[in-house]
Amino acid sequence: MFLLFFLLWLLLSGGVSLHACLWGLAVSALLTWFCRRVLGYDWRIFCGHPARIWALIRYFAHLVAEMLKAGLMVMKIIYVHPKKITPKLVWFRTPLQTDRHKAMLSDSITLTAGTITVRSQDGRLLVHALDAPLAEGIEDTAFQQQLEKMEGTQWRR
Amino acid sequence: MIEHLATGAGLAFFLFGLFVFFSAVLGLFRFDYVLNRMHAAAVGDSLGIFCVLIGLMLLHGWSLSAAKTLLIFVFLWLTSPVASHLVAEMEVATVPDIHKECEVEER
Repeated sequence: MFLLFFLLWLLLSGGVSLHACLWGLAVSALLTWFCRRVLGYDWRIFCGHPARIWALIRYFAHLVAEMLKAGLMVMKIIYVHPKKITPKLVWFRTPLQTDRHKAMLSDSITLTAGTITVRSQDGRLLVHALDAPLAEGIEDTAFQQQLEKMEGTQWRR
Repeated sequence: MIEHLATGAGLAFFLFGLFVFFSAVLGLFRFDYVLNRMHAAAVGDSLGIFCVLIGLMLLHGWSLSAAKTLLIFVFLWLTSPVASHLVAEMEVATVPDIHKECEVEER
């Protein structure tokens, strides 16, 4: 986490000078301390097994591809039949256990246009879909399968 | 040659991004209920932002500003689902007869 803050500082300050590095070190150390003590963040998220990092990269690549596809689909709905849609609210149970993975799943669902996560309650998610075909198979998406695998490797560790 | 190609691709991405934003605004007017309108706005958030920022990165070339553009991606895509989730949750929580607006299904 310290390294992440330091890199962010260097990127935003726009150059590697002694002045920027010294201030960056001080501010990153302070922020790392604040995040771990006061906010209780777990810095191990960022330095896991290489296989887990690779799985995360694959997940985000898949997410971006799905976001673009869903965006084009919603654009088509906007131009072709905006009044003939059948919006739907779907409750479904997710097998994911940890809050972190549930949050990732619901964020991914919200980021893909056409579906928005409305509520999460007792291991169930409420999702609003713009059109009924967009809600098909929402309870077992590729996102969920990938996250389940990632969660599985985490439990084993 | 490669510079020309990058400029052309950047312009194409940028213009398509503008078109996506136009569609998103049009969608806001064409859909008739707040939850449906949010999907139109989400198109601008995901596809529109992606095309515009990729276009800018291609136009500027790989530099510090391109790296900062990547940061904009990260922060926008972290914050926008949270905001839309909160708006949607507020709408569903405060409308007593949500069944009239859209079908509710249990799976």
